[in-house]
Amino acid sequence: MNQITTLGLSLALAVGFASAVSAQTTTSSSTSTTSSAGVLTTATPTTTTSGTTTVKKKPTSATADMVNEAIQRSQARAAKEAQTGTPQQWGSEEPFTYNPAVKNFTAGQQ
Amino acid sequence: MYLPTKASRARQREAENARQNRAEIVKALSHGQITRRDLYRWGIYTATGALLLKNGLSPFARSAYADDIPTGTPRSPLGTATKFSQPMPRLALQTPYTLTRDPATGNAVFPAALGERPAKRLSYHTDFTANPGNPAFRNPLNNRGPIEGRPPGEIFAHQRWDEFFPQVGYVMTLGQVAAGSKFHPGMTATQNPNSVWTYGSGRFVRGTLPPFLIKGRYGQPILTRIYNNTPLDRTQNEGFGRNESQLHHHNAHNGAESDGAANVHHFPGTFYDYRWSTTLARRDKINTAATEIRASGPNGNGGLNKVAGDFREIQGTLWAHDHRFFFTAENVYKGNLGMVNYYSGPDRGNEELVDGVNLRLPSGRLLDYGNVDFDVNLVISDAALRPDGQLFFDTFTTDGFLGDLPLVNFAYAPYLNVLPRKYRFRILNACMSRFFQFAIAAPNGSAVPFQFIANDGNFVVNPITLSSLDHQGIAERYDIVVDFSSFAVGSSLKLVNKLRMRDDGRGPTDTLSLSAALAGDPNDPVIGPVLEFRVASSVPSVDVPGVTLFATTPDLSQVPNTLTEQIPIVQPVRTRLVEFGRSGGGDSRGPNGQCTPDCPEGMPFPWTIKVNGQEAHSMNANRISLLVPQPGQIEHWTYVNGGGGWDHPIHLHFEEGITMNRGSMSIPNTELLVRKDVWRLRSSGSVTFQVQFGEYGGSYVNHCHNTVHEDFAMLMRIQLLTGVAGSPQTAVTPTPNPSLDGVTFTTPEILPEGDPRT
Repeated sequence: MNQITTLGLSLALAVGFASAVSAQTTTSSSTSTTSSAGVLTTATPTTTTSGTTTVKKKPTSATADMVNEAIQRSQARAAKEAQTGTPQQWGSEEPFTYNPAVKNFTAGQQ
Repeated sequence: MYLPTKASRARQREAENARQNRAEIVKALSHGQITRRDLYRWGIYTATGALLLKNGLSPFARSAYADDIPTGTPRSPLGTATKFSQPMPRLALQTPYTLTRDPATGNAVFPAALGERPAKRLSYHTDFTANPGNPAFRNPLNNRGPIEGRPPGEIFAHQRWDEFFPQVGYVMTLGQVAAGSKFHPGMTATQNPNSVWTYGSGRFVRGTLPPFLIKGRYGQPILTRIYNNTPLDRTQNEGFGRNESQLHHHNAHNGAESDGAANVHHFPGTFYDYRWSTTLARRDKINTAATEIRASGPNGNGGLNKVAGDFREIQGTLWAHDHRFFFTAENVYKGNLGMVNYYSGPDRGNEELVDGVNLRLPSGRLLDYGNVDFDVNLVISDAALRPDGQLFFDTFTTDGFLGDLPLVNFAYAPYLNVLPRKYRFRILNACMSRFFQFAIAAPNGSAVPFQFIANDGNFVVNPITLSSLDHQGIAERYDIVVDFSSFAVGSSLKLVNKLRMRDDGRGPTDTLSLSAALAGDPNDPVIGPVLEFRVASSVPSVDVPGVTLFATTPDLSQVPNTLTEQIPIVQPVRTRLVEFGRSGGGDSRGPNGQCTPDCPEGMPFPWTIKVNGQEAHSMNANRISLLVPQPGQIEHWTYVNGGGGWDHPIHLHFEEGITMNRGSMSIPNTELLVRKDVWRLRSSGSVTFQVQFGEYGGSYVNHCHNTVHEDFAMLMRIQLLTGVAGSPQTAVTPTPNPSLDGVTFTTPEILPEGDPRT
């Protein structure tokens, strides 16, 4: 960045540095929450890629259960937003428990 | 978001100060002085992605002059402009040039009088790379880099060149808008040359308003040469817009090198040859011998040229717009768009010709095909102006941008004279973030019924009678037929937007009644009537200037009960799940620590996409998120909105999907089993569709068409290994990295969950 001296950018920088710390804290906090909650129940175990080494195979086709879970998670987030007025937080995975008995999706459904 | 017109001077001043502050940041962003990631690093955006609620920046901060009222944004100055006081301009029809084949080189040669170099299968960048010292292949504006932006070599050669050899050519320039351009004659300011960048006819000319219209037809491939005549100095942009462009032909069935979204933007002084092949999808699989008469295009003499492919995949209403990654919203908003109508045997654009194939939809009869006297393109968008009347853009929420001026074909709330007969309207939502919901109000305020005939340019099997359209997301096209014959000459009807948006642009809130919408909304001037239809006894012909069309002439057009046939839903080869949301870290970087383009730093973006329930990623042009291994394999895809308060209109490039369901939610008849390329995902919404890929391959994308979301990285790359056997497109496409000095390539990362070969 160079030669930015205008009012808007000055103001941006002024408010930005003060809030950057809290913003980072928020991100860090939500990551921690997600991690400790351990609530995501993806149908196939996640894989870790280190360079080009794949630890476990990732699903290249989605099951009806995976789609069902994603829809339930979406509905839970939408309900929360409707309740609180606060949209989904950026970078977060919010607490959610998948109920496979509730069917929102059937493969091939029309 | 926009202040009431009666707001106090103090509040107007406060809001204007905030707007100017935001404009300075948008300007610095567009000049490349800062990056989007800088904004996050400085905390300009909160974790929710909204602009920090600081008075002096955010339109949503509390006003210092009125408790609990947002600061807001000042209204656009109208001068003496009022609604429905200027005629609606029809789109600027482009003139095709006949191309001839040079038997020695296989090149497509323009008429000599144009002075254009021939179009070639391999780009001129290829020549530049082989001979960088030859001025014939260098950018004449800065004597640096190649003359053509299309990347070098076989990978970006025009696929199936001989098979779809271009028969007609267009030469257009993206450039500064012509002097004297206004959105309404009553507005005090004419637009500065760099406020609007749009297309003009010819080489290195100024741009013009309204946007362009190209008439294509199946069986007649097109070569569209686009010159970039925007300022070489990127800071000469009136505060927004990037002087680099790739023109995406929205969902035409083209090779990736001509899709305009393979990270192949080109620079001022250069051109790009797009070959718009007019290929009918499934030509390698269905009706390969071209025996089906409905799979055809008009020959210009009342007859048809049959083509291979599936007539059920005929496309009609298409458009083209800029797709420069990370600057799409600014560029499209600035005027970088136009429409393309494709004509076919059934959708001829001639309402008189009877041959058992032609559907005879409202259009006209003076031309063999492509009549538009009664077939009207409506590019509907919203815009905002600075106090000095210049076009203004504000990215300052990552949620969405809403303007306060309704534009139709880039004219402020115009009127259109119509005869008392049937008309077809091709309605395009060309906004950046606003959704519409249109109805037509009769003179007494009641809803006028109409027939819905096509969604995103694809016929529905049977016309659907409606009194109101469904929500229409950004980039969606709805074709409707309205019958004005029951209205007396002198009557006035209105096209009315009934949909209220959230102030922050995240999505729609509620639909107003027609009477409430007609009354308008003081907080949102784009709610209410946006176009007036005036029933007249005569109108001048658009198709043959100088001819007058009269109300007394019989209306020969019809809307048949059957428009096409249904493509069945079958068992898929595989299924895919794609979630669009905010989960994950938003880190765009690949294993090499880099992100393409323009995002070299490690800060995250707010929007992410994840495939098959795996890790979420933000856009990186050097990452392939989905790979399609073979042509012709039928897949079922489900898109899910990550939820939490946003609506996303999701666009799939290159192929249409047959909409199967919306999970447990209801689905309207205008979508059920209808082919589409943009699907609105409501806050907790999902959609499942059937799709297959074929004929061409290469690098395409899938993204949110709320272009503000798109520019904040809600986009993923798709790799299609679906080219013909032996072509480069049967292998993964290296990522092009355009620069002023030419294109270099990098090897893309491939997400394992998106690659069925693994």
